[in-house]
Amino acid sequence: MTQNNDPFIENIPAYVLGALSRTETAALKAHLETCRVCQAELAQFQQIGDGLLGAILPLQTAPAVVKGKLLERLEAKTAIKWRASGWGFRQLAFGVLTLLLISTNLIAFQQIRSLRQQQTQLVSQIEKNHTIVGMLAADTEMHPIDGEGFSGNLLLDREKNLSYLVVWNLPLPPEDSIYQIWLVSPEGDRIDAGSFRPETERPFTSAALLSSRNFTEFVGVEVTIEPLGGSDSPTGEKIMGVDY
Amino acid sequence: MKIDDHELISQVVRGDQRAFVILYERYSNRIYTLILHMIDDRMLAEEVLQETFLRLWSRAAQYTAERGSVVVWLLAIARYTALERLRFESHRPILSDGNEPTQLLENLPEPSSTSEEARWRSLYLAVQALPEEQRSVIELAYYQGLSQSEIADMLQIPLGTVKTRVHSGMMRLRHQWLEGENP
Repeated sequence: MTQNNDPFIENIPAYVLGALSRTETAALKAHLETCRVCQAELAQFQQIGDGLLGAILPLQTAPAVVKGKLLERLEAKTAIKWRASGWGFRQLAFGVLTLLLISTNLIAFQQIRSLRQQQTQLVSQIEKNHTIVGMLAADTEMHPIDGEGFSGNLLLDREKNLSYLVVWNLPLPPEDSIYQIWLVSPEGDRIDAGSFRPETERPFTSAALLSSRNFTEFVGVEVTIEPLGGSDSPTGEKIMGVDY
Repeated sequence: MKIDDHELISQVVRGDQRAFVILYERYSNRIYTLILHMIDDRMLAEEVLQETFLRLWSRAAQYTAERGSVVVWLLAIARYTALERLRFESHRPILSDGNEPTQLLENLPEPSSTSEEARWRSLYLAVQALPEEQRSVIELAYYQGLSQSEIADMLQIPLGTVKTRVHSGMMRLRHQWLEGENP
């Protein structure tokens, strides 16, 4: 195919950088549909565009606290998604029920909503507990935990690299605080393994330890009180610790 | 044993948070470096880093191996997210190219066999070797999301001069970096 490529081929480097106007971009895209010469040119320059994404030095270190905040947001997002996927039959029943309830009693409606939220939380808790029960049934290590007014166990499955804290009667930390879990290395370093607040509806709390590393690289677990969002390293009071 | 990135993405699609954490720990520093280069504000950069990984969580099913490496896909999402934030903060209008990273990365060639970090390092050196006037327009376009017209306004130089500098700089990178890799 004979085409005058000059005006288009000249624009390809700027296109890859995202620097063309909308009109120029639209014209070039239309031309690229049919011009093999310009497609080949684009493939070359796209490698540069691709490379520029990583061509930055020196490498910066993302603050460790970001991971904690991200996982909190992910938990919230997952819970919302679960609630959304729970519609269907329940949506119909809920709709009918809502109409009836709105016409009779707004307070009762609010109570139902509250119950539904509790149900969602309960299902989430049951799923977590199933995992824990599964671990108890398997060849899982149990390391006892004792503290002031509370007790529990650290469950550790070295083969599956799974670990949970299960603690009874754990008091609530202050409003602006959370409990943060730390994995303790043989050298004494503390590595973030997630954070949690105690369950308010139940006498016991369970929390999964989150780490991409193998738990066998560590020798113990500690829990400290930290500000909401978590800390890069322990700063608050240590409330429990266990060696394994 | 290191788990393959593509396998981790498959696990994220199935809702595996541990796979998500591994990807975060593997690439968060590289992605944070890009974001911080684009947004010179650590708090904003941390927010964009979180947003990038939340998009990974919700869009993991859109990734296919044909699109190239996972890290490049993540970096493209990070760049797009950072440009959105830059526009929001400066009240600038929509993207000049209007392209989502997933569109841009379709048909992207597979990276060469040399490690990506080594390739990025050599490209970094090639960019640093550009004349200042060429490097600055490329950086303003790619990392700040400015169109050639916006760059001309900002630098108070003719649009034609900006176009020439962009073109010359990119041709020089192609010659020094790309053709140097695949002679």
